[in-house]
Amino acid sequence: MWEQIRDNQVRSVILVTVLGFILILLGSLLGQTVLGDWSVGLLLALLVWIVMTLVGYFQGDSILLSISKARKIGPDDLPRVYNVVEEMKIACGLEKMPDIYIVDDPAMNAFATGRDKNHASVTVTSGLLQKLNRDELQGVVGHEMAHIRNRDVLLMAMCSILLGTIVMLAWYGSRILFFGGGTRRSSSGGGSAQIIILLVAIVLMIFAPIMAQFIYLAISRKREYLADASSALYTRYPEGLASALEKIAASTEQIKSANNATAPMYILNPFRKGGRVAEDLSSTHPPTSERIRILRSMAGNVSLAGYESAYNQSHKGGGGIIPGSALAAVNAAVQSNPATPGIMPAEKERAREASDALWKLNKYREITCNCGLKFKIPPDFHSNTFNCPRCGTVHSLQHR
Amino acid sequence: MLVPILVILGIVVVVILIFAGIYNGLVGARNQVKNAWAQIDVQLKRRHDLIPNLVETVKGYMQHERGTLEAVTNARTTAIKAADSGVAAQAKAEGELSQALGRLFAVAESYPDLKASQNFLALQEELTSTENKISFSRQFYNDSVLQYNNKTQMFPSNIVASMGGFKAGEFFEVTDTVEREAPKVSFS
Amino acid sequence: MKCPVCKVTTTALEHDKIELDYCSICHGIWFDRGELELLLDTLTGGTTAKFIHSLMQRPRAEVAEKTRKCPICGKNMSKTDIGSGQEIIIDMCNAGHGLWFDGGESGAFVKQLKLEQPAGADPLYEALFFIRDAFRVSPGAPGSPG
Repeated sequence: MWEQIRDNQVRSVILVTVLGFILILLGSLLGQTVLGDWSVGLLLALLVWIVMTLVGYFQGDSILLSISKARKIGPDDLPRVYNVVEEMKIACGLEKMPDIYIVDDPAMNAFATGRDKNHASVTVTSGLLQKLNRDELQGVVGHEMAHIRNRDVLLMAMCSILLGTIVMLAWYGSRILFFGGGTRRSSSGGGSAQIIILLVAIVLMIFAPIMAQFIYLAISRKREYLADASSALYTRYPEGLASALEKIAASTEQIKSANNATAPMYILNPFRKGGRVAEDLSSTHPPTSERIRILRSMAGNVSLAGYESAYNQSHKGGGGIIPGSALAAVNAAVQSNPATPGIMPAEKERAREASDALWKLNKYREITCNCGLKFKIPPDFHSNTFNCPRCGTVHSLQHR
Repeated sequence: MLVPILVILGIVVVVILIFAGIYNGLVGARNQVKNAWAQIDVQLKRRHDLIPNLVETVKGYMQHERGTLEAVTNARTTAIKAADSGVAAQAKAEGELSQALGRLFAVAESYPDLKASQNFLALQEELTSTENKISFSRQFYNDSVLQYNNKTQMFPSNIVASMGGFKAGEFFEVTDTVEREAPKVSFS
Repeated sequence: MKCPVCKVTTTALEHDKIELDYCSICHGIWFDRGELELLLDTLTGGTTAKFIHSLMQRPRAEVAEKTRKCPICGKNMSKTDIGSGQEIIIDMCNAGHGLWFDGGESGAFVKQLKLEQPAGADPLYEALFFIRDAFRVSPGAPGSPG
């Protein structure tokens, strides 16, 4: 049933090759027009790309995690979250438990990192933990696990690095070409041929980043649909993810620490503006309403085939998202009632669960005063005593 | 004279390579089934380990529910014994244990003191999650078995399978439909 | 979080499962957007966002007090008078990240709320009542709000 991964890899490799071809073309044309030697430009482009890829491969996840100020949690910090991740790890057949990180952010979001299945991690925001119930969290974690399982993370990282290199080259190239073109030796060659090359270079510099962007988006959105389908298959409960997406879309917060480079890693695009038209062509993620509609119309059939037919219902014509070989495999019935009543604490408790775990990870000290007020005192507190602002009791902060 | 020999040799090499590839694929699929089974086993054992703890915690609060508690303890003992008596028998015993636990948690709903106990809440989370992990590992196991069985039955890998002695795997069927449903498998 | 006045790390106070950020030097309180929502969404049926928006529409108060920066986004906050009858100036983040009550302000409205008990679930008063309850042991008993 997991053959779709291989099929998709072939398709993705083709798209990545096209991206690589754009890079090479851009590099050599830039070399020709700016330095007068196409091979130097080509080598330069490849060098930049290789360096960025190596950095991204070995440091990408730690860079991403430190940008978003993620904290790693263990099974005792947030047992329920750890359990949900472990459940999804088992459901997708991953051998190694991914690391779990939590970001202190009221916005609701989640992302996966890691170059392969053994160096993977799942990150969720505290806002997500607060607002989602267990089934919804499971759906989101299932989606992120699918990204790990399908090796999307590596693919998307490599793609975004390629894209970044192309954009960077085009930007610097155009700068040099238009403003500092002193080193051009256009007078030495035959006039008209040089002008044609120059024109092609200019056109390419304008269109290469746009083209690359569209290829990149095409890959990334396909992976999102596939991850949704996989999540439904793992959890056998598409409603969980659908309702989570609904809540996330409704939340007004925007991720504080997200920037454009990390956007495709998130479960929902943190830069969404709400306009459906804008989302259609230039978004790393498919429109959320669309994703919810597909998940909801899967009804009783949560297999990949069920997702495919639900997808086709809302997209008349056009290719499917799941390769044929995977469709014949398993028909799975929707799960009747996965929630255990009473086990899920209310939103306030969930909020405290998440924030208390973060306080603890940040070495805050928790004291409960006799009057009932609780304090979470920072490790760099300026004094050795803390006066309860409610009843005036003086608490000593000396080492217990 | 040399050319035909080379051609025949080449064909033989190609056939051997294909054979080896299929064989390795079968071994891989069979190993995945074994691994998936081991996963179920880990979770079942975890549940068996958690139950005495739960019974101990609950006992103080639920004096009048001795029958429910005993049913859980007995179902656990039966399930542990059934571990060596084949997939079908084990699936049945574990299914009964799940039901007994479900009844216990349902009864616990009417004991507010118990529901306020941190210890009980932590145990309930652990057991619920273990229950989920069991059904997810079963789900993965059944998918793996399906994948492996397809290989042993479909041409041309079925030839290699019968030569190499690859037997079809057994599904972990759940007898109880009230519980989380395992995937309905079709051989289409 | 850093206190927008003293720039030291604040302490979190938890009352009734809601957290307030409290500076023990200047006794100022930060009521974070997320915590406001936790408190008010069940009371008002999920209209906290609307409430915060309506607070932002209120006229700016003209006071000589120094402008404070939002501890979340670092942008300047604006002064708003939320008191009725008596002046209560709070600082409010223009991006809606939360409300800042200076040490003196929290003292003033706690005193004022002892006298006045408006009826109905006005979200603003719910928030103020919450702070009062967090800082006072029981109604009537002399609290020590700073």
